[in-house]
Amino acid sequence: MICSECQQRLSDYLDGHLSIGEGVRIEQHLMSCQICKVVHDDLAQIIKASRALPLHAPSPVLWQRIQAQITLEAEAKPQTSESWWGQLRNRQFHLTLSFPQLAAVAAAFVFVIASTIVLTQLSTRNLSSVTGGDPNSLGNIGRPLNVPVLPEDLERQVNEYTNLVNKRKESWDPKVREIFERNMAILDMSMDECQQQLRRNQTDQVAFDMLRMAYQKKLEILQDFAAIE
Amino acid sequence: MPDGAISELIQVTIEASNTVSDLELAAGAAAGDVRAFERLYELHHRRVYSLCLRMLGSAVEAEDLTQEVFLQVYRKIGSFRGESAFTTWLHRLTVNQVLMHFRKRGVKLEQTTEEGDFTNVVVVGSERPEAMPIVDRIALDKAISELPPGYRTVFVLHDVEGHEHEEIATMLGCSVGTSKSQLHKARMKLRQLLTKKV
Repeated sequence: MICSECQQRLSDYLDGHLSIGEGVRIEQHLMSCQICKVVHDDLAQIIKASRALPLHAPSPVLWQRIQAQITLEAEAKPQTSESWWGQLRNRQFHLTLSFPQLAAVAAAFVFVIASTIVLTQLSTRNLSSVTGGDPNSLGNIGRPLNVPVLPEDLERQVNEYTNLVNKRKESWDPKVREIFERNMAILDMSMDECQQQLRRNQTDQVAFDMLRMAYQKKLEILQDFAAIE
Repeated sequence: MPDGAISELIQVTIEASNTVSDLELAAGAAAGDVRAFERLYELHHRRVYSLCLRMLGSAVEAEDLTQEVFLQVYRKIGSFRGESAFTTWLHRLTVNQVLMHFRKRGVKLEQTTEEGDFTNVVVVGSERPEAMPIVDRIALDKAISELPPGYRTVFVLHDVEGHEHEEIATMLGCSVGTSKSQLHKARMKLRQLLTKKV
């Protein structure tokens, strides 16, 4: 082996990238060549020293520069007084949800909008038909025989998944948690309206159907979010 | 338990507790807590700055890029989900910023040599038969800053930061062979620079 060949392979030799045969050839050359041995030792010293290089510190004003830039960027963001539609349009969404989760969220929004329209119409109709519009009037006391009841299994499943998700959501990405909680709040508000409607008229089949659908939708969303580790 | 095992256990515990702390701070920063972000800066700015400094070879540019890295962290912290350690995520972000900076400046990292063919740095005859004296860290840092950008990048990523050639090749968009070749030339060039100075 000649010196140029040995020196070209010294880094591979020092990093352990050579075969046993090639390594032995290098070692044999190093034993007989003082020049290459010196180069080998120097490179080994450089490698060793590089792994222990100290950290350097930037000037102390760097944090102030960063802080000033952050403040500028925060001020440049749209103000919260902007309309909800403007905020929605300007918001940069990070797609952290899977397609089924996004579909569930979209379905929840559609459900909430539809139920709001139906319940608003029902509310107007029932208020005009119920005497005095008083929910505590004699006509609403006591449950008639045809009052519909939610399946126990559905309520139980919703409660179980709610407990499960509540335990897990602390470890989620804050944006995912925010999306989840916002949708749950909207869904709960809609369910609350259905229940208020049912308190006014226990036999209101439409309000009951909407409530049952809301429970089912909530269960689907909870199941999707429960899958997030 | 042997002393070595105890110190290793302590180190693992310290690293684990730091990871938890980083995760908590990252979550806080993502929620808009500037104090949490400031703490992340305090913990990691030296590492980011040192990496920038060694890859760029200029203190002014390293400060500018460190600022840009932490602004990127502030903007992207919401996408950090703790799948890897925060330090790994931050390191990758820093390397990407430096490489983007090189691209903007038109620095060609694949350029292998400034001084011609490799054979020029082969030591022959009795040029320097004696061993190089112990290299001090300041001299080594200075010599690294004098390397051509292509050599310096591979050397810093491999020998200082501990990346494998496969990772470097992926980061730089070159072959493993090119990475190995650049590294060897960088080491030989460093030896040349240090031999002159020591």
